[in-house]
Amino acid sequence: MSIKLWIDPITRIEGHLALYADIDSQTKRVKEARTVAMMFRGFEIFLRGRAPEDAIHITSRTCGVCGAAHANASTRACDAAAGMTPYPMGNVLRTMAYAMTDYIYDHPLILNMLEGPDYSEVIVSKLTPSVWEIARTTPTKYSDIHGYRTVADIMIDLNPVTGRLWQLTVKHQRIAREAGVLIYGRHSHPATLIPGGISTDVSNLPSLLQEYYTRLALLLAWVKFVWAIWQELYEFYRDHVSTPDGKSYALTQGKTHDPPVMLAGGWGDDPEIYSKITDEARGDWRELYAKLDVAYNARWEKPGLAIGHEIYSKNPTEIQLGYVEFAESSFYEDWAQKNVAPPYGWLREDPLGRPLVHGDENLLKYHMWNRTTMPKPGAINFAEKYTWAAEPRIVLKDGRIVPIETGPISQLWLNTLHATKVEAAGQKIWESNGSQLKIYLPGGTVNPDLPPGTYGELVITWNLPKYSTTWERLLARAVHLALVAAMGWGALLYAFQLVNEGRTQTSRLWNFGKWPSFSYSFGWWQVPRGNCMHWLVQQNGRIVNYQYEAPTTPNVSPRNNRCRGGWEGQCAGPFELAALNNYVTEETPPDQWTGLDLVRAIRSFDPCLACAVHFETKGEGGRVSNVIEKVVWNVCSL
Amino acid sequence: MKVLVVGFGNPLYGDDGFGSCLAQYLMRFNNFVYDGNAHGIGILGTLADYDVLIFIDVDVRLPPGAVAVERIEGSLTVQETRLVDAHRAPPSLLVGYLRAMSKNPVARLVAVGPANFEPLSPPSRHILAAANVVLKELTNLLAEYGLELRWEGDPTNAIEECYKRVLEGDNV
Repeated sequence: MSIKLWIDPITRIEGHLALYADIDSQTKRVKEARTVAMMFRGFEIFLRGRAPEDAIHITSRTCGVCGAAHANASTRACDAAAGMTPYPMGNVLRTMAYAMTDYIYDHPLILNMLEGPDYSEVIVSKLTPSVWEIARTTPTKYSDIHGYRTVADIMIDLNPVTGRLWQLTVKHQRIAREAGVLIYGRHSHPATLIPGGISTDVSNLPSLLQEYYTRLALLLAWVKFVWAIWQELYEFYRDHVSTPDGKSYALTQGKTHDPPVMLAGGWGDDPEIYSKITDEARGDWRELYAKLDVAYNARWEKPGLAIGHEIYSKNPTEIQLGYVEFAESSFYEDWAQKNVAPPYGWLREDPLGRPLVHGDENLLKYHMWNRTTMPKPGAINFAEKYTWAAEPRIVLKDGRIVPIETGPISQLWLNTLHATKVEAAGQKIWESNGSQLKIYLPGGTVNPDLPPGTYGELVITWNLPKYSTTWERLLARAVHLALVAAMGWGALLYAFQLVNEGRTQTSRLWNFGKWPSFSYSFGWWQVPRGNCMHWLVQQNGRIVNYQYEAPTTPNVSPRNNRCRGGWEGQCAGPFELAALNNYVTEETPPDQWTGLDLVRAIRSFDPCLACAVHFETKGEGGRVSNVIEKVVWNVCSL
Repeated sequence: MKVLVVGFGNPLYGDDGFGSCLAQYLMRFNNFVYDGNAHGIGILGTLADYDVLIFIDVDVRLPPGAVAVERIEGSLTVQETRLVDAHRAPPSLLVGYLRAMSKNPVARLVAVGPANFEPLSPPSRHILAAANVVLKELTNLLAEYGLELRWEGDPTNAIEECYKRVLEGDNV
């Protein structure tokens, strides 16, 4: 018998994503899975005609969570199109702020408040009681750090709202945002990001750094605690929980492509190198573009595209040559078939003269610099169009066309394959050897809310997995949280070093509204949900085309028939693959299945689609109500 | 007792922004006032620190311009908590969450009846005229906790300026 599930919305906090699944009740295997982005996302349309620097602040409003993510990607696109980058202190401040406002704020919130409830006592004991019984008798391995005696004790504290982990997360996300706001001025839409700099008031910089440090010290203990919780749960689901076919839950459930296609943009510009490329380019935006791969590869987290454990390219300017988006299964007109070119005609080369999409005349019109957003709403039809999410693919040099996965796991994946090490101001942050990644967290981090085991130095090791599964993605987010906190620490030390050297200037001199007569660029920035990618074309200080990929866009891509070179059978985004590659492990009768394993698979990406949210709720929450005590009939206003 | 006055609303939606704009004005003179704007559950952590919360918001049950003093009663169980839209949580939902988190603040609301929620529209004459009445009721409520509400100048002008900043971008 087929069990058909339609779950809408699937996202726990906001954003409109629906899941349709067809499950065989005998084998408990998912036979078909489709994800549907329910609302239109088309900021690109009203960006045309505006000043490029406005895009930093307009695209930031795409989302109340990924605001700084879009602002940062847009800032990098503006840096490149303007031909100038900040001085070292500007780069360090940009890194310090982003480590806080998105990563250290967001990763624990995603883990403990949005994904954690799926592994809490209330869910596990109700839907998978045998797992709950195992958890009650399974002692923990990392109790010296997190303080819990059994796995079940952790699950109890993951209960939403009342659980200690939920409440600690509410507290610590605020501390992280406070630290970021010291530099950004506000959250979640930074007020201080500008092309070639950052406008933070640095007149009392030592005080600002001290304020940042007091918060970072608490948070460094917090990230050790959060990592230990999720490492513990990962090992529990790896070693003690099986699927109906007898395989490890953690190593098989929610698997995506085989081999995985991992894209990462990297983030955390090297303070010196990202500054120096402006001096070397001498104001020529094309010269600066030619140095972007050097600058991106010097980032403290590394960019690139990997297929399985092989790096296809480390260079974003090369990868983006083949970055295309199709509209076969999504609610848009095919602009290429309609022959709707952007105002400047079809671009055929990048700023360095290399042919877009490797010279393929049919496909270059689908490159992001050539895309025109043309909404075409319609009814959901899984045989034709069924979602507002478009279909990003990458055309490789050898003609293969591949789907894309991105997220913390892809970033750690690329960091590991780069086989390198990153240090800042004499502090080792992380190092990798091609199969393993080690992260170095400092000690002396006292946090009175947490066990003393979080106060000392800690080295965290992450082994490159073969596949991306539900649990590998969850673990990767927890490990990545530790890595970005180490980066925040390194950036702070670097800032102190710059203060001691008297190098406190942040921004290049920039005359408002002064842009090259024509320039085009892109900005990539790895963020908690994936790689945030912006493509900008400007003419005389006005945007003539702006296209961007929200961090979730590649992951939420629907199916189409565009993949080539071995990818034809899995030509969909990771959400659909992850939902499809699942067994139902719920121990209730099939007619009571909730789709727990499927939503776990998709939530492990943090499928935020706030960029598509346009609805609101008013009114009371449950049994809480407002009781009117008295009314003042204000005659003046009636 | 720790007391916080929290103004709510989004000035992009007409009268909805009244509480936020009034709070921005009062924050200049009082360190116990906070602008909650449309941050929704994003400020839950801030609210958790206080024993008494006094919200300023609109209440659609009231006729335009009428002012009411309300108290927020009841509590939520975990099963009743729901995160629907992070930006649009009304005071009652936030208080429900706080109580589900074992916090139990006294929660009061000084509410105004709105006339207009049209996007990008200025504040209505009804809601502007209610500003002084709201301040009087706030003063009375705060006196119960030994606090004195201070302000200078005309709050109506301050609210209109707040809307101008948002709608016309004077501060960008």
